[in-house]
Amino acid sequence: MAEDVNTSLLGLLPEIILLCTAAVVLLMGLARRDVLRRLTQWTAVIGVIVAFVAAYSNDVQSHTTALGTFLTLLTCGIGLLLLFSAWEMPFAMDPAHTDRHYRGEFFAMLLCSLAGVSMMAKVNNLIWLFLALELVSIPTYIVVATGRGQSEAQEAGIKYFFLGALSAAIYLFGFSYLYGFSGSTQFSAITAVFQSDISRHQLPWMAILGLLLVLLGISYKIAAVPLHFYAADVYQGAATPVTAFLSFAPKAAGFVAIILLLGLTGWHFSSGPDVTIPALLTVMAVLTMTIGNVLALLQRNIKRMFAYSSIAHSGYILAALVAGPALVAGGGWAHDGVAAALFYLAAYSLMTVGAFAALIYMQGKADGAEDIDDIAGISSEHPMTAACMAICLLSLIGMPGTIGFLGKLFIVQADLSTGHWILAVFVVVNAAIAAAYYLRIIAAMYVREPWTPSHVRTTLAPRFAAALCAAMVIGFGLAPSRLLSDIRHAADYMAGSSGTVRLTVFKGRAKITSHFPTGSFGRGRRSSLLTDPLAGYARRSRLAGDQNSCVVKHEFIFARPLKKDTAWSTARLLPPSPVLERNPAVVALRMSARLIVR
Amino acid sequence: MLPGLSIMQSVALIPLFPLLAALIITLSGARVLKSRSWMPAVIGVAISAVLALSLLVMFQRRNLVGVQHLTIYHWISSGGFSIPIGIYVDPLTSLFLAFVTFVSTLIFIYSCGYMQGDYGYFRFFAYMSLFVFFMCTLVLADNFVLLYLGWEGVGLASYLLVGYYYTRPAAREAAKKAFIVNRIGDTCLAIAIFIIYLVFHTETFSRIFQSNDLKNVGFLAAHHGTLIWIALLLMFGAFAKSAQFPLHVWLPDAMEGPTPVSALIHAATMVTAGVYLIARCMPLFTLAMPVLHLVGLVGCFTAFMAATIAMCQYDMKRIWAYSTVSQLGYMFMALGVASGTAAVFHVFTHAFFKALLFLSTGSVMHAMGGELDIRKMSGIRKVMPITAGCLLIGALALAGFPGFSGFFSKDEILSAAMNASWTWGPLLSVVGLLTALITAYYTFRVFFRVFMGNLVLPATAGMHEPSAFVLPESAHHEVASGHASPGHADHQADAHKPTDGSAAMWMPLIILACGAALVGYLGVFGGANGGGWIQSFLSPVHLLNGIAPPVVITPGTHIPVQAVSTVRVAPALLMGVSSVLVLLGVLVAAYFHWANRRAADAVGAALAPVVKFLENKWYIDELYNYGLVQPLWLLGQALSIFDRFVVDGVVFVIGFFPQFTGYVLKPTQSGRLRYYGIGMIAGVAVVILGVLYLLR
Repeated sequence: MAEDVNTSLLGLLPEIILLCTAAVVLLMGLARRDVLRRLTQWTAVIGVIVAFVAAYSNDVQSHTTALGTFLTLLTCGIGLLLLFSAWEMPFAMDPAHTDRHYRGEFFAMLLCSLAGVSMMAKVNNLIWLFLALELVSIPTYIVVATGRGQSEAQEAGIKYFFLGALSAAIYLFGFSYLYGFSGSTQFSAITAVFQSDISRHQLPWMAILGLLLVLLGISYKIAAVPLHFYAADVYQGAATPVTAFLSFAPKAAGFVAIILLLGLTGWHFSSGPDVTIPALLTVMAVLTMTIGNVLALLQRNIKRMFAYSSIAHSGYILAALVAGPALVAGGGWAHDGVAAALFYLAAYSLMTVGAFAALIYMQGKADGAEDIDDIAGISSEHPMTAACMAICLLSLIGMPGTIGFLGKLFIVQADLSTGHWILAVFVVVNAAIAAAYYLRIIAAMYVREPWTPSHVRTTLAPRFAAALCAAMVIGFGLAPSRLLSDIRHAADYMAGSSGTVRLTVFKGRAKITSHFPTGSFGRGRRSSLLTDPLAGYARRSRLAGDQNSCVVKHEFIFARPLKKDTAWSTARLLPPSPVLERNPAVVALRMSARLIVR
Repeated sequence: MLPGLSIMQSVALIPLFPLLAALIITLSGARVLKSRSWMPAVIGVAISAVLALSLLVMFQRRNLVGVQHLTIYHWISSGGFSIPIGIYVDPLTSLFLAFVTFVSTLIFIYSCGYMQGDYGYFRFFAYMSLFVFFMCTLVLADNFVLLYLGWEGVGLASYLLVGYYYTRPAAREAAKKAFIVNRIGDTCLAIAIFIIYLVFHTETFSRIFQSNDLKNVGFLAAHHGTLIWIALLLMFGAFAKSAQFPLHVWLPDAMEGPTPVSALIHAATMVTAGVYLIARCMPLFTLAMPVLHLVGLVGCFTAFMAATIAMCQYDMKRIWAYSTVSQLGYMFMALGVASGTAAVFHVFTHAFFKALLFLSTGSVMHAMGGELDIRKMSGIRKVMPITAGCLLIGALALAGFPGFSGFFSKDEILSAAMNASWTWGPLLSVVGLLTALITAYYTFRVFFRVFMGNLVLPATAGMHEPSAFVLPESAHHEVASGHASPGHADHQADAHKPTDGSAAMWMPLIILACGAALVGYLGVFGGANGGGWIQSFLSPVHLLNGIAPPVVITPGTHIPVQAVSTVRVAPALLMGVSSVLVLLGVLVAAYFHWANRRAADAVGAALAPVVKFLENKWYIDELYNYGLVQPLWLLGQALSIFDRFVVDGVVFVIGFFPQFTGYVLKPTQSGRLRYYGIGMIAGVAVVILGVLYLLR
């Protein structure tokens, strides 16, 4: 362990920077001189930017996983936007506040929480995981309670804290079972135990119980059913910038935690007794997205509506996770549920922060307008901000051309290609339901006449954040390739191990047998493996599973009868490279093509 | 072409300049640019035109050869499915780009004068620039998805521009009609694109058209039916956009838009997108010969029908609209006999002379205060000589008068049809000749009625057409105060004498008139081997003239191959016959509408039933109304009743359920935190106990 310290510390450089900045910001907020206090936000912004740059550097990247780098970059990027949205929290507006300590405290807490999110993907131990989760959560309890000088906020903070503590108890309880089952808190040790148990084709109930408790406990962080109750009250009670923060930080942390924990099991889903986990995830996904959307339909308070919509979006991401990771590293989008989940997480963060930033600007006062009527007709007065809001909302609906469309597309693709078509149907139907309440906001902004004169402040920061989000929502929607390759890289961390591909040619038909040692991933994955136009057009594929492995058999009928009747070849799958086609069936097809030519 | 960029990169910028202009105008038109809104639009489209023309020159000088690709980036790439944003440039693309941007530039300049002082001046130029962007995208696309984007985009721009005078109910109705009728075609096109992906596993043109599958007998035999469906669906898509029977009904109504819109979108460019689509997909159509023949037959019928309708209309723009439908019919006739070159040639000449006719008509409309009824004016060449001269040239070209552009391109089509290997080709040609006679008649009917004879001006003469735009009350105020558009109020106040309009209006007319008179010669001279320039220019385009790939035909497969054309009638003889017919048409028109107008009324009275039939446009709108609209309306009513009583009832019950639940659960909300905690624990407990029960 000792030799690890230096390397792990270098890998944690961005988090260290964030925490140091938090300390500095805390002190600056307390400074006697007003000038210094005014620099608080700027210091926070600079800290986040430095952390971003640090995470980008090669030295740091080489000491952490791709998933870790991706999450840190996402956290710093979204964190920056959140800082801009929270630029003028109530302290600046409310003369009752002495402006002395709140400001520093608030931004320091935000930075601590961001550090926790950023650390999330770098943990390799259950204890670390717990610490990171709490590092995300505890500061949010504080900012919810203190971010707004109203009793509602304090009520929300108390609720959030107590229920959060309850959920922490639940997943900590689950950790104890995992420890009891594996005898270690180290991820690698737990994985090894899981692997050996998988090979014996059964898991002890203790492991299953532990996983269930952990998943349920963490579903509080992502506001998934059945631990979603708090969301509406807390979102509504908190100051709007804090609400925006809540819709990003705990959610990102929670989902990465779930990905890591499912990764412990090697994503062994479909066979054996551990079918419970995917079944639970499926039920949770369906309930979460449906309940979230249906309840959001009934709301007139925008923040409450966003709370329920945030629940619904968690459901979509859960639906992606059910599909599991790619079979082989670098697999296409169609198979990769983890990549789809990560992409959707990034997309959702952008869209929702953009919408909140626009809302913050429109509210005028941080605890001003919250009802949908209050922003009626605002487009005539603030066309640009209304347009940013509309773009983000359209993206939340999933309009083509925006990042939200791609996010939903990848989720649906992943589910369909792994045979979870029920989930795909639910995602699509729910997207349609969601359109109703998002469009209601757009209609209110553009079609209706204003009810009340708005008192909009002159501060530009939230407006800047909203414009930036809207630009990225469109930009990444139209040119996502860079983001996609980063995310795919991050998700490859979870991808299955290599397998073998065997090609047999017999009586003019080529049979390709792909053999994967890592267990199976549901009945699906057949259609999508075979999308190479080079292949023959009539084809049949079959999937057979045995105890330890998954065998995918494809049969091709080629336009021309093959000359050689029995030729076969076995190839070990090569590591992903841009030159080779990425998926095993395509590799096999290339081989078959070569055979035909010969 | 541009410094620092490769040729293809510069080509990729062609659509972007108009897009940039549209963005600039949208963002700053209302408050900053105001009456200067034309500037970005004209500059943007002019740069595009220069680039497009230089591209044409590159192909001509053989600096570029064959098909060029540039993939700009991959929008979506997922497994085997990917949608690249890329451009596909060959001589066909380059020719379309060149005339689209060139004619657009002239029409934009014309619009500066024509639309001056109009409420929403900036909106007009923003929409027009958007249109040019989408049209260039459509033409440049290297895959069907991107083409579809352009296709929908031009439809959107057309909708916005037809409904430009949105305070006029007729304009709103026309915009909706255009949009809805196009929906039919767009749906067909979308389905065709889906099927194409299923069959070819790609959407990229080059990979489809040059794939080995299309030369593979086994593949063709297996997919023969599917290919027919693809071609059929593509055909319907093209028919809707290019206003062919029975989907032509939207185009005449679309004349509610401002006249430059009619000239640009509904005559010169957008409506030829259907021709472009079929010409581009000729490799697929040659594998579905029955569909191609259907294209020819429908085109021929449409050409004839629309020409007869045009004989008995009185609104100048409507006459030109029907004439557009008719000329588009000619183009599809050419495609039907697998002569893509003739079709594209006619698109090219038609763009010039029809834009010229519309813009001249616009000048008349401008001078006559929006009046277009040919019965209400006469002899106006005396007050607007330039317009009269330009319109005459346009009319000569449209009528196919020997020596003018329409003559050469129409003749190319007729001789291609006459000499096609298809048995019914000559029939198309004969109907085409008859249509040419009718065309000459109705074209010169307008000219002689309006421009010759004694000077008669309508009461509204001298007022400006855009003033017909009924403004909302507040906007009126704005205009009157001179805030939005200075000069508009002046137009209203002192009506002046009708004239040719400003230089911005008559200069483009003259340039277009030169084009309309001369571009036809490109089809006769300047090419290799003594042929026309256009034929040799387009010859590298893959399968444009439908010579099917060298397939080995085995018994049992039904793959028709276009045999070598036989010469039935010498082109020179055909030219002679068509010249005589055109002259005849002009003379008849001259007699009835210039020399002896009373005779026309007498003949009209004698043939009253026929005239009534034609005036009512073959009762096709009525047919739609009773055959389609009314039944659908009834169905809609029935569904609405179902909706109100059954669906709403269910929704009410469902909507009541959460409220009811809430009401029942209300007591539990009193001490909320406690109950939330209990809810969470209960949820966890249910799951855990359930799983333990199952695993027991």
